[in-house]
Amino acid sequence: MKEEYPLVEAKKLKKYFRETSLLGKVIKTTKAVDDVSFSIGRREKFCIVGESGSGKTTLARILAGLLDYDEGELFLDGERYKDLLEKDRKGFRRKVQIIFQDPYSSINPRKSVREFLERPLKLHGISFSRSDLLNILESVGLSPAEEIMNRMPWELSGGQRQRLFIARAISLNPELLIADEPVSMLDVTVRAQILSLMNRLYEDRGMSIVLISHDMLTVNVFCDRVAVMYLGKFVEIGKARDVYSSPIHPYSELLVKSTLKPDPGIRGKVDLPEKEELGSIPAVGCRFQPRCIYSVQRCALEEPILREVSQGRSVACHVKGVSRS
Amino acid sequence: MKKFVTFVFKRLLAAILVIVAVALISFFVINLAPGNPAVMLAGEAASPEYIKEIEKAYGFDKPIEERLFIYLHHLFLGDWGYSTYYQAPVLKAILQRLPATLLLMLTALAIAIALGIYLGAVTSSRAFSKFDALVNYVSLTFYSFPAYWLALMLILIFSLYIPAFPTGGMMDIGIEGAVQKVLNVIWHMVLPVTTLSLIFMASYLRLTRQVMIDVLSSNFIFTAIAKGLPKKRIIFKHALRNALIPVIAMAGTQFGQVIAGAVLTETIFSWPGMGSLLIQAVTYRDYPLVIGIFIMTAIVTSLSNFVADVLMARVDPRIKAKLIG
Amino acid sequence: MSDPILRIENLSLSYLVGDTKFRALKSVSMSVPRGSVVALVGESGSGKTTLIRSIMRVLPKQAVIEEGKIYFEGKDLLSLNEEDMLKIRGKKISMVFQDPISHLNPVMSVKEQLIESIELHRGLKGKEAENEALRLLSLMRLKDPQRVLNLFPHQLSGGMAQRVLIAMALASNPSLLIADEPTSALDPTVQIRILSLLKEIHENENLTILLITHDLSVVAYIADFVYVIYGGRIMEYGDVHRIFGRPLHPYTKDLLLSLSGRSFSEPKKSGTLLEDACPFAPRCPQAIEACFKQFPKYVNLNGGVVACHSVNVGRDDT
Repeated sequence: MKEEYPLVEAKKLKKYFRETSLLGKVIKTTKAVDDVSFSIGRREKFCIVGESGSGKTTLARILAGLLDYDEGELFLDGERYKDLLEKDRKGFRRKVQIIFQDPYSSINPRKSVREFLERPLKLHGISFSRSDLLNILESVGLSPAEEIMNRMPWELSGGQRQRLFIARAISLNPELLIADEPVSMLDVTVRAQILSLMNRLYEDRGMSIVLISHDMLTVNVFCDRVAVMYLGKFVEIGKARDVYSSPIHPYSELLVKSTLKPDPGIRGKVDLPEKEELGSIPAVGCRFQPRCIYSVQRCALEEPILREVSQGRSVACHVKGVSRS
Repeated sequence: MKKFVTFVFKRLLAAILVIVAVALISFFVINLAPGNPAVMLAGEAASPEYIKEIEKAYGFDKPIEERLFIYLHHLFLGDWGYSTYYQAPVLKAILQRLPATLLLMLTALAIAIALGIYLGAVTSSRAFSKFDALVNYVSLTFYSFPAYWLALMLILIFSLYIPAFPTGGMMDIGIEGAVQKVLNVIWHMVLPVTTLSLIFMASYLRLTRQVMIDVLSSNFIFTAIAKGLPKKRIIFKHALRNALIPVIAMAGTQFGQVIAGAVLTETIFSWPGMGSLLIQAVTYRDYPLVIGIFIMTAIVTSLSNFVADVLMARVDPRIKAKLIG
Repeated sequence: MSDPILRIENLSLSYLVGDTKFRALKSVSMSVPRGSVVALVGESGSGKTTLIRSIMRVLPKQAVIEEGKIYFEGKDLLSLNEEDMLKIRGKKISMVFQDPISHLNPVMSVKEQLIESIELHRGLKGKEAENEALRLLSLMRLKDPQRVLNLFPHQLSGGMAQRVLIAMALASNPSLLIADEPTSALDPTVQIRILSLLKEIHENENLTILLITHDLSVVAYIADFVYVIYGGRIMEYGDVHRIFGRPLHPYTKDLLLSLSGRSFSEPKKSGTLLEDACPFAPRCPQAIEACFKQFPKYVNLNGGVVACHSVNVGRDDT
């Protein structure tokens, strides 16, 4: 019935972190999320890719309702996040779930796997049976479920724990699952297994997934659409396949070219499109300009805005992707 | 350098604020206590003329704001009231006793800290060995002795059974020559310093050991090992510098308290310091003196915390960045 | 494979916790030729950390070496006393690590930490040592080495910290550099720069590198020769082009496949396995009965060496 709205819509979202002195003077402002607009459709796998300091984790936390935003608006099913969280926090939590990077932390070591799984269900007053729990464990590939259920979390491996977190997140049947670097601390084979698990859950349950990652290869493998984030801004949005195969924004290009290819035949000197001389973040103009090899005078003066360059593809650059029509 | 000067200035300002706050408290204690504050300041045995004189000097006939100002002004000028018991100005009585306490306390603390850090570092590198256990038991045993009991035992053993050291006092009468005087004082200091050091040491030892165990498992210690550094250098150079921060912080807060704190030890050894002064002040209800000691303690505490901050900033560049910028 | 700088022969090692024995390495043999880049590929729990610690001789007390030898430039490291080991550890064999910032002492400046190595291993003092520190930092392609020298670890970015660590490792003119996941904690744009720096140093200074990683794309970028380790056993080894072009072991194949986000192996199961079984057997889709009973022999195949029953079966058929 709410199909007329996208699942998530963000309009000019902002989140600044201010470091203040003891007297309340602002010493440093970090623009973690700075004027970001996007929407996530139903049954969509949306990725946000960026390096450390890009603000992607802050954005993930805002999307999960764990962090308030300063300015702009954020909607879930057409309703304001702020209203939803105020009115019905529990209802919101049922719809939006998040899993984190580090499956080793944030588990109460004294609770068994069973208690860990039961907690959100009880909290939301959902009735469940023992076999429901077993089914959830089986569905995330934790088997033998019977045995795992009675174990303690620290007896599980990193991959198993991430599966357990996923199990708990999906037990509430969320509409949106946010995964903040869910595989970056895991071994490669386990990474692949977790990603294919998430893919299977996506197909079986029809939820939307937001994957936060620093790795273009993962993005390309997993996502439908990707937003490339740099210092709080989206610099490019498009189909993951397109952005990976032909990035338009110079930063996207840099990220793609930095991605190591598993082929010893093509190694050699890298030719990265990047100025190695890193300046500080400019107060005006394009944030990527100090690293950009394509920059022109205008880049230092005026901040480019995200513009659609073709159907479903937007780029924020004065030089690249300026529509040729 | 300029930043350091501002830092020192700010900290001194903060210390002065604390002292003023303490002075205010003492002012209100005097003024809000039932009875005539002039009597309180002059002492109960003072003559009516003298009380009149005090009333006039402190302006007890004037409104409270004005009195406060006059009081602070007096404090600032060094007029801290008149000790009835000593029949001398409070500040003079305190300053007469302060050096003896400082000598005793600084020596005891210095020995306790140095030994505590050294033993803490050594035991941490052999954590859970027999040596470690032994040092821990012994230091805890001393820690759990009441000071007066330990002092009495030391007197019993080293002054009475084996008459090696004097039972009390600071210097014998009739000692001539500077060198002889110094040696005589040191001889008198042995037992009280031993008492206090043994008790203080345990906390420094345990703190250092605990922090060192954490530090020794850090990644950068593995780097130091892989660099090929000898074990001693790893423990005393790489690890200990990291473990010193909490030790300095603890010493900073402890120092202020011990100024008036070693009451029992000083009394037992008839050490002519602040501790025995405080006992006398309380015994003879010498309020001006009690309040004077209170203010002096606040001053020393603020100053020692300031010194601890400077030292921490010197040891740890991260604290320096935070404190000084 | 002439003149290996490092040769490990039949190394078996267990950890003894209470009365329980945990096997960490079983009959591991490998060889690092002088002037090469050899990669040891494995995931957590594979025994790669134990192997490095055995080479550096910094094993915890619970470790028991059951058999084997580690020859470095002809000397058996396992038979050296600590004093002789100090002449090798950090001097002839240096290390760089994952998560570089945490591997620098937070209360010591770059200068102090770098010069410490130079003084210790090269005997240079004062101005000479400082000049050498500056030379090393500029070799790391750090802009404004004089400024970097006076910084503290918390003021460095991950990439800068790793460059400082590499400079520190090179300060002793080592003959072998062990790089333990040197780039996996870094951003991709920084990772590739650090890797090309390592490659450049390897080529210009003819430095031998033993690279420890779980990431095959890093291996593809820099290594000449690859050992794949799983569960404390070497599964397969060979030339890097052969490994990527014609992987033999199912585990190697799975590692390669997982780079594209897929995996055919089963999730790791807990439970005990026979001492002699192939450690990968419980996860292996091609496992046959023999895999659970007996670790296969190493066989030469297609220019590589592999230990796998199913590969052997395949070979017998042809």
